[in-house]
Amino acid sequence: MLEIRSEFDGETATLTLTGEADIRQARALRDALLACAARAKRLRLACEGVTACDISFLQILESAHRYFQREHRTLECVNHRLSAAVRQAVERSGFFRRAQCPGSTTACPFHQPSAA
Amino acid sequence: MALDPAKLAETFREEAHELVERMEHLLVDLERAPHDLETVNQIFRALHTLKGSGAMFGFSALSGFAHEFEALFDRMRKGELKADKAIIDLTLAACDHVALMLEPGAEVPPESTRPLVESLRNVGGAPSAPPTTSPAPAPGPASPGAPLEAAKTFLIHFIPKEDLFLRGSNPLALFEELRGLGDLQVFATPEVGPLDSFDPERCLTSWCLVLRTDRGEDAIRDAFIFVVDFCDLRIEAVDGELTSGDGVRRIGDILLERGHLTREALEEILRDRKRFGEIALEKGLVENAHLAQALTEQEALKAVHDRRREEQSHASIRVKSEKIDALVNLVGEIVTLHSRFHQTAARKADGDFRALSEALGRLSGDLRDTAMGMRMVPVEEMFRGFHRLVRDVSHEVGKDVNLVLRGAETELDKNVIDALKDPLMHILRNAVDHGIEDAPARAAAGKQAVGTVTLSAEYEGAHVLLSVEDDGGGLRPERILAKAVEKGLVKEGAELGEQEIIQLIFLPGFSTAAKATSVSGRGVGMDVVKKNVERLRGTVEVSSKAGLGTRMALRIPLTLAIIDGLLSRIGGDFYVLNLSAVDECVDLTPAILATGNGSEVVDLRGDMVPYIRLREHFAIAGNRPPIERMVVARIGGRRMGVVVDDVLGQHQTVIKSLGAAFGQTDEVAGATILGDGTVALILDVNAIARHAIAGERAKTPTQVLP
Repeated sequence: MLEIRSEFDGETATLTLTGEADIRQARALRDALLACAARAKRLRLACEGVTACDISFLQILESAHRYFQREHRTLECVNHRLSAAVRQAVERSGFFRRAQCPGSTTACPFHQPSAA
Repeated sequence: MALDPAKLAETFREEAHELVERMEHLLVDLERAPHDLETVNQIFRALHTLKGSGAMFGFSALSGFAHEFEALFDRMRKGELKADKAIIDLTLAACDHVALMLEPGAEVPPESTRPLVESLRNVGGAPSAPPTTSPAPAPGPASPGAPLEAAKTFLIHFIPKEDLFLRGSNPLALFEELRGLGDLQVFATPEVGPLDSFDPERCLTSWCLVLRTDRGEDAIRDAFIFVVDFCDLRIEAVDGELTSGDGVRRIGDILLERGHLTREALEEILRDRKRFGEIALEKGLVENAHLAQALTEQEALKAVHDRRREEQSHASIRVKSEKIDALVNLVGEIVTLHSRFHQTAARKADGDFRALSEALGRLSGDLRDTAMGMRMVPVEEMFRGFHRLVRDVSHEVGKDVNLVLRGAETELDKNVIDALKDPLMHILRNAVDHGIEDAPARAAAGKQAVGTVTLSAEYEGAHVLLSVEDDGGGLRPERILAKAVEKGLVKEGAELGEQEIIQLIFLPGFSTAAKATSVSGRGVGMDVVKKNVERLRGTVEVSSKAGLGTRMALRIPLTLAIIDGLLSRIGGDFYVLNLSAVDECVDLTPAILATGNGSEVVDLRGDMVPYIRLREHFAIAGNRPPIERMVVARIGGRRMGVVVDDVLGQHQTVIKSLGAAFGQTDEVAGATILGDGTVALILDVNAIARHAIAGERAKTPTQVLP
């Protein structure tokens, strides 16, 4: 199961995810992200503790990325890193992007310029 | 979440049963052609799919067993083993075991699986180490011994339905399966909205996959077998060479294909001379996420020449047969309604109204043909299943018999095919057990040691003729007659023609086998065959030549839903007789009636034809007209008359079920609604004849009445 923990520091929120991020917790994760977005201009996503994930999780990341872009806010991964399990899922499911999103002011979580 | 594990399991079972059936066919093929690597590969792939999907849907014991089963075929692929009779026996038994494990509620204890697993591992004399890994992806194309056909590149568009996750499907597992086939590149196009307008439980992503493999398109489709109903799937072979210039897919093409860009916008951009992506973004014609995705895909597709095959529409969907039945039923209602509309139009004498009626008639006719066509499937699948039957039966009775299939592409109503399976099985069993002689007898007759049973299908007007022909010793009328006398079915000394004697084999309890065997039953088979075929409004004919063989011919209507009938009237009621059984219609004039000398028989051009008066048979009140009409039908090789007040003509009849209230009688096959809304009963002439005969037999128990 996925553990979702949020912390706020001024206008910065940090959402820490630990465990298996799959469809069972998809709705809870989406709601947690929205709750963070409502209170903070900058969201730091700590995904290094995610041990496994499915497509629903990647879709949520994509959706969050689009939302923060639209709202001209910042979404970034802590240490600019995803866990090995998420990185592998991104690579194997084709969610990676070799190019940064053109014109984007927000770092794309799926940008893997040197991915195998 | 709307996950329904029972429904998922049911879907898996359905598909897995199809895989098992297919494997059985392939195994029988492999026995005949043990060097055919492609067959080995097909079986391997089927097992691989069963294993992977079994694990995905929670059938872990089955998945484990499939893994052991698959390991055997992996050894064959590598050339370590060659299929022989023992291996085919074992693997067919393994198929049976898989089928058993698939039964709902089946709890197959591990101890019943273990011996089979041991046998699978020990094939070839050298026990191989048990696989230590859980179900693993198939080896890639570079594996030693893998089938080496020219590698091709396939472009796969996989667009799942939104409820894919809720059905328990996991695209990541699917991609792993595809990776087992070769070199795979995956490109996702997530169509998710921003967080506040997005349902996270829906699958909103589509994929473009580039797979370079030497396995061919079928193997790719196999990987998608469990999601094929829940997605739009397009697979195109493209050239695998790295090309440049016009061969490379352009960004604009990718965006246009995905609907992220309109053609007008594309043309507007192309009028400029700048880089496409820059202009598209500057002008706000495309979202940057979409553009990034397209750029990624373009980079990979540079490795693929953009020479696509003509788009082939292999797309198919699985539809429950009940839904098609419901559609056919509704179409029947439309045909009936049109018939009433047509009569009304004729009465009104209005030109416009008539033209409309004719147009509607054409449309409803096309609709009827299309709907009926949806239920038509080739008999091939059923036919191929009989290879195993003939193989098993011939081994059991110690004969060498080859089954030859002809006309397997012939199509029949799916419901008819299902109902024909058992009768054909009986006939084939009989052909092998009783028809084909044993080896010494064949040698003595100067025949080849291997007997041949030919199962064929062909169209014959609105019917399909299915025949089972063996090259055995043929029926022996004297033995049949002696047996019938012994069983009290025929009076001793009765003089019967050869065809009449042959018809005796359809009597309940008749059997000429010296010993009843587990193979061909206990003498109830042919009786059941005849009843089942007649229930389909079909007929069975038997012909035989001493020393040369026997032929059983089943003439079956193409469909059960609509028949060509003969509309008749008794008093104020209407009846429809199945036209296919009708030989002729005769006016029962006093002169003709007189030829029977008071019996219910008439002499028609020298042929004595017994008849049944339906008015009396159904106890319909009222008086007979001065001249009645007799419809002469051919029943079981004999002609019989059915007497009605009047014959009104041919009538295409949409059959409506009468429901449980009429379940007690088999003389009424259904009902139909005539153009003016009147209901007409559809009569089963065979059943009426059978009942009349039974009544006669009750009066004279030893009379010959096949």
